[in-house]
Amino acid sequence: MDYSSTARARTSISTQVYLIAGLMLLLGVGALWLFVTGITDALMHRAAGADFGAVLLRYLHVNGIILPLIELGLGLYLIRLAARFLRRDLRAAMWVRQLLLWGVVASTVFVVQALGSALATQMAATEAYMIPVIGVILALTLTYAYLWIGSNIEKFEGQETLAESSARFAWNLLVPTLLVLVFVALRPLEKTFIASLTDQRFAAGADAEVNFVGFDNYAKLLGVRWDLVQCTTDDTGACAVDESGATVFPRARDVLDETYRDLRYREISTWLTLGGTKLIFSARDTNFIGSIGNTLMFTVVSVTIELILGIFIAMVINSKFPGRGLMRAAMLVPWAIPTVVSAKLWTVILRDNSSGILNAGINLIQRTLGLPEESIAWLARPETQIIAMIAIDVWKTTPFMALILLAGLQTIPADIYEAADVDGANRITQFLRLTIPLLRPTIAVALVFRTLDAVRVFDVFQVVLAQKQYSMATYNYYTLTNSQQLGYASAVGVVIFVIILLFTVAYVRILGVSAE
Amino acid sequence: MAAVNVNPHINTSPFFGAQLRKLAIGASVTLFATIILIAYLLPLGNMTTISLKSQQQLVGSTDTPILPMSAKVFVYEDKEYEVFQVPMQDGTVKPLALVRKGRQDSDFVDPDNPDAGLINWQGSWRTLEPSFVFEPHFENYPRAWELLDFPLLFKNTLVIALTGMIGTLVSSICVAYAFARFPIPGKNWLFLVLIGTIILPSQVTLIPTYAFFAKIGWTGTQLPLIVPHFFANAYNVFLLRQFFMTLPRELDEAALIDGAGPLRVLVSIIIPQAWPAIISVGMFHFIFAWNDYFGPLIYLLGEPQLQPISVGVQVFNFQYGPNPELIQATSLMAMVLPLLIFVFAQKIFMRGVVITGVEK
Repeated sequence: MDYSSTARARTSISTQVYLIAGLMLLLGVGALWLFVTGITDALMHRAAGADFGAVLLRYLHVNGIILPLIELGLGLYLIRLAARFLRRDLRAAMWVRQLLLWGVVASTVFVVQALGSALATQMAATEAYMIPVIGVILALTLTYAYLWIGSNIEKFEGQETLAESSARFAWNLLVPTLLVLVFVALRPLEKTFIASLTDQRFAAGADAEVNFVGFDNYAKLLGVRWDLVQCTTDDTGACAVDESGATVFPRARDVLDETYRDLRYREISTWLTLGGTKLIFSARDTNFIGSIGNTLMFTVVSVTIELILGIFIAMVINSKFPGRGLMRAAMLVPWAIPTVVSAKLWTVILRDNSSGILNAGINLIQRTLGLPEESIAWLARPETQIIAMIAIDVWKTTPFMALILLAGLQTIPADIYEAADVDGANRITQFLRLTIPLLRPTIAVALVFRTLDAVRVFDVFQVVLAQKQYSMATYNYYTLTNSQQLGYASAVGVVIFVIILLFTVAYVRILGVSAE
Repeated sequence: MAAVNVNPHINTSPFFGAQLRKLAIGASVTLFATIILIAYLLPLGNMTTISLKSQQQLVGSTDTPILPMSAKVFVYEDKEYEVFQVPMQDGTVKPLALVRKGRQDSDFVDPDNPDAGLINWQGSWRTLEPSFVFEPHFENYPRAWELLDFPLLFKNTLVIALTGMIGTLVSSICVAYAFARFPIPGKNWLFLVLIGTIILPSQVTLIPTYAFFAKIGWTGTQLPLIVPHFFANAYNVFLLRQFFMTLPRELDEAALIDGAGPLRVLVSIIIPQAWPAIISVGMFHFIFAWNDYFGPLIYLLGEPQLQPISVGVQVFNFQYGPNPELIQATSLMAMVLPLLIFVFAQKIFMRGVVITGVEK
């Protein structure tokens, strides 16, 4: 950029510069306007006499936290950019050009979407086409502005370094993704949390009343208590005993305080019985507390088994033997089968008479040992249901675990084993002192990902057990679809998220997984 | 020959030579591998045998054979008689057709030699094992194929899986490239946010996301299953970024000095070196999309002509509950395609996984 061209740029003041700067300013002010109206709206409600908590929740329900922050940041950024653009700053011009390009893309998408819905509704009315027409005009204007800056770039002063221009390029790649992440991840998380504080219902229509209930949903979900229950006494004052000799206890709801009944606590299990006293565990939502137990049990047991088996299998397929390629491919077969299919397969295998292959095998063993043949109804009893779930998951995901661990094993150089051989270390020492420590980062990654998946388990439970027993995810699903309680289901979702978060934090602390 | 240099630390016992030991280890590894393999493929075998049975073969008593067997019958004097395994006096067991059922003794006829007349056998015929013939019913497959509109389901699944795969590859490569190569202020913070989204359970994001798609009128179409993949996915970005970081920067720099733009560097320098990682990510997505059940279940509710195979198979399972042979036949057919892709892509895939060193 030589002196003469900048001089010429200064002398010819273009109206286009003002127009484009004005457009940026308008967008910036618009964003700030959205931010401010959100707050003034809330303030008006406060002035109208609503209490502060209700106003805050209402604000969160309508606006959330993330959107106002984006509005504020974007507004301030655009206004600053417009000012710099007016001062003919080259870097500002490049960024304005960038934004215009995104604007063109966004308005084109908008036009296509609007046209699509206009065609879908088959409205003959012209209003349906007004929105696409406005979009087209907007897109054309932005394209013109974009092209104008491109061809008049010499009217701007300053220099953009290579690093700055490549950073601008990189933002091009990142911004769409990050924006979408905000809309498909962070904003939903926030919305779900806010919805969990309400009694909103699913598919209830737009005019349905939504009340804020504070943490009531959580209190109901997680409400548990332990109580001591005294035995029923007979005439002599001693504990009553039934025919089988067991001590008779009254129903908990009949003897405990009123809140037990009012809040609909129900007994889940007896933890301890000492003479005439027993310790019982009750919950307000027994299904959900049960689903937490099921999911945690499922997660811990299946991930542990998968890890141990996975290490062995990885070591086997890492060593050279005839047919290794075939073995590797075959091992991964269960992973490639849709869960719906494998779950159905297992319901056949686990059938409760000997037409199921598992019971057939058990019967065969019983017959050879001379024991009476007895089939296990795997999918009918609560305890065995979870065992069956674990078996299906282990069958399906161990190969995958093995695959990740194999990747880790292959990064261990072979010569350290040779060195260990020379030093006389045996295989077990080598495994414990070399393989495991060197595999630790891979094990950590595998454990984190597998655990997160296991806590979220949905399809196996839904396909095989439906509503016989719940995992947290299927409970969430059925709360939403069957009982239509959106607020309550949201609270379930948030609890799942918190449990996952706890697992992640624990892993990061214990195993030292880093983001890098 | 010069004297052989023997390392005193290595045990070279003449009785158990290194060669032999290697062979023994190899054999035990193969044995272990085979056992695991059998344990793994057994359920699939069970699936296959069920899929080849007829209704009659399935319903039978509790000791129905695992293989698709039918009770053998023999036509004698224009009537069908069941064939049983009869222990003869000379100690051999002969398959004989039961003509007259008696409590104490029964009359049999030898199917190989019916002209020899009736053979009387002492004992209760109920203790005899029936004789089975192997009779697979391959016609279950064409029947299942007709009952479940496979071409449509395959088409739907392929459309969803392949377009989503292209989308996630293009977008994830771009984002990973930006994270791996460019100095952006606040990059680490952004990356952390991105990776943090991995731990979000879909149950948390489901309702608002569904509400959003319902608002723009995309529910009941395949768009919610495809379009989001055009905006990258944290797992894939993580995988690809890790891989891009291992590529030497010198080549990029040389190309930049030669005047190539950043996009040109990505297309001509980075992508050609990153094929294994890209193929892994593509495969991960394909398998994910092929197996995805929850997404299509909620977004394509009541749109059978748009549903992919996972939902189609489950709907079929409900409708044909009493026909396990048809259910297993459809299940087997549903997994054949990903399986074939898997076997063929196995080599490249393994290499990619080994290089990226992490999972999806």
